[in-house]
Amino acid sequence: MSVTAKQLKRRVKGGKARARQIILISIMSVLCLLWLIPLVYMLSAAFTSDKVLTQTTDFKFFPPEWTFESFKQVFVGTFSESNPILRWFLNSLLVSSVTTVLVVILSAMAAYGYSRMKFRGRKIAFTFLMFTMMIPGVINMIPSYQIISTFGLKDTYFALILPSLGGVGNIFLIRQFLRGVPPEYDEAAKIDGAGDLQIFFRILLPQLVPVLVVVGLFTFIGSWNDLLWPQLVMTDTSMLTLTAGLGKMGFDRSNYPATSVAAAVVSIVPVFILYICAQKFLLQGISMSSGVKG
Amino acid sequence: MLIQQTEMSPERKKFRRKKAIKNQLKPLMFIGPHLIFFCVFLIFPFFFGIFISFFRWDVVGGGVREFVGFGNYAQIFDWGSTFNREFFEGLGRTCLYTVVMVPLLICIPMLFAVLLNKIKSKAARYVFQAILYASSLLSVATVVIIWSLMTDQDNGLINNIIGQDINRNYQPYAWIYIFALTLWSGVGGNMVIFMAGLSNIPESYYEAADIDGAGEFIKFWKITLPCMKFQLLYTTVCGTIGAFNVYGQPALFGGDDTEVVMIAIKNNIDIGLSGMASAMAVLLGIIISLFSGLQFKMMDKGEGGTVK
Repeated sequence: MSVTAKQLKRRVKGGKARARQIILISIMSVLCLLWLIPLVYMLSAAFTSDKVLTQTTDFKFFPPEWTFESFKQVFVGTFSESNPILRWFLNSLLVSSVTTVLVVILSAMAAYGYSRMKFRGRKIAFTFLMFTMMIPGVINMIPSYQIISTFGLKDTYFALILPSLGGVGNIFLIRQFLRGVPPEYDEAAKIDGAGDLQIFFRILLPQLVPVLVVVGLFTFIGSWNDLLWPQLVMTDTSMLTLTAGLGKMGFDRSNYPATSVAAAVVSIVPVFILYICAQKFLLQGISMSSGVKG
Repeated sequence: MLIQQTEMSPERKKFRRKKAIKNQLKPLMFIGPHLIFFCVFLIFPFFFGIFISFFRWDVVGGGVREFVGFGNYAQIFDWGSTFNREFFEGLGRTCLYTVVMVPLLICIPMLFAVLLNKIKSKAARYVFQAILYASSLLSVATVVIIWSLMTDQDNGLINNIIGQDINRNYQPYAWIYIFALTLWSGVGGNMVIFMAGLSNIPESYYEAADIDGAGEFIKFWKITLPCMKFQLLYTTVCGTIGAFNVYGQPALFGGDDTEVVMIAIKNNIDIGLSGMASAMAVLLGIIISLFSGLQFKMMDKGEGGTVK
């Protein structure tokens, strides 16, 4: 039996699609390799000693001799005395986690309030809120410092956590997402006798998981990366966050290049672990959101 | 009948009023917690910041404050003063950074997201996304530590590969490296937003376009981009605001003539001129709000308003 024209067409089309997939995957592989180079370079520099890096040109891409010396120096020795990496790291972890949890809860609640609840002046209030998105953080920095210092919160974790709880960008993002959740959901729940809190926690929050994961990740990274604010508000070196601490190393960086890089490596390990767990959630979230809307 | 309805018993009236008050208070339960922080750390500091800019005042060091009116602003606009040079040279550099980085951080993540979205294998997509996003997890300080090492003049990776002897402090190399390291570490965030947006576009739109015989480019232009309007608006506005506030990359990476306006502001805080720093911040703030307002308006056309 000969192949019909239709079958042939389909087979050619299938082959074409497969070829396209292969090309796509190769392009992305090259891009990913490119993106990985600095990370691999960082790792191999961390496994090289400070001496090799500062006094020789032996280090090209892989360490001439593998050594744990610089990792040891991150935790013990003169370098660690002036740069308490472990302490900074714990500070960062605490501050970023607490900030993230609070921002996600407060923003989701506010987004629900502004988009689903009826009250007088809601539209004006929300428009005003959106306008404040244009207020640049620069203006707020010095007065925020004054507020924090008036409350006696300088050199405390509150100084890093509280100011980020007033942001409006996340509310905007969550509200936009909420618009995709049909209002029939909460109306049906209301008819069944559910209160606002129940509607929020039982009906809407599960629908919002994708956008909340994105908001959470961004908040965490934003808090983790903040450089200027912690440097301003923390005068006690041991209260610095990792980013602010690593940023302040300056002079030590050129004397201890490998140790600085090792410190950087140590600093990212737990974040990467967290990310690998969240990534699963993130992808799930993305496909979930398409399920709701599509 | 009508009279009976309007003349309710006092208890019923009271009950009704109570319920009305309760209904008005309910939204406060949801927006209240955020509202407190919003007022204390966003609205109040905004006005307070403008207030400070009219003083000679060392907020950080805690000195006397002296009302100078528009004195700080006058010095910034006095073409002979050092503050003038500091501010406008810084602003120029900040603008350069913004003009380069904002389009780059929209186009490249969009390209990555579209390519990733076309990959059918879930596992491959997962791995690629994970790798491209990984660098977004690093702090500016970490990124700069890596890139300083890579761009080292004597034995850095980049000079070794291209066989040149580039000093990263010289221009235009300092800027090129700052752009490159920002792109490297900034692609992931917007890519995730775009991927979420792409997965929300119904497959049927593309199927309909296929029937009409539309090519890939037409499909991207006529379906993908319009459907991603919100994501584009969000990333552009946030990106521009972020770019105008750039501090970490140039402050830590260094290089000749990379002192952006935020560095000038920070320097003035450090030397005890919080009032001057506030005046600079207010001016920068006006520029930022002009830009973000314009973007809001431009991208909002035809959608009938962002605030619906």
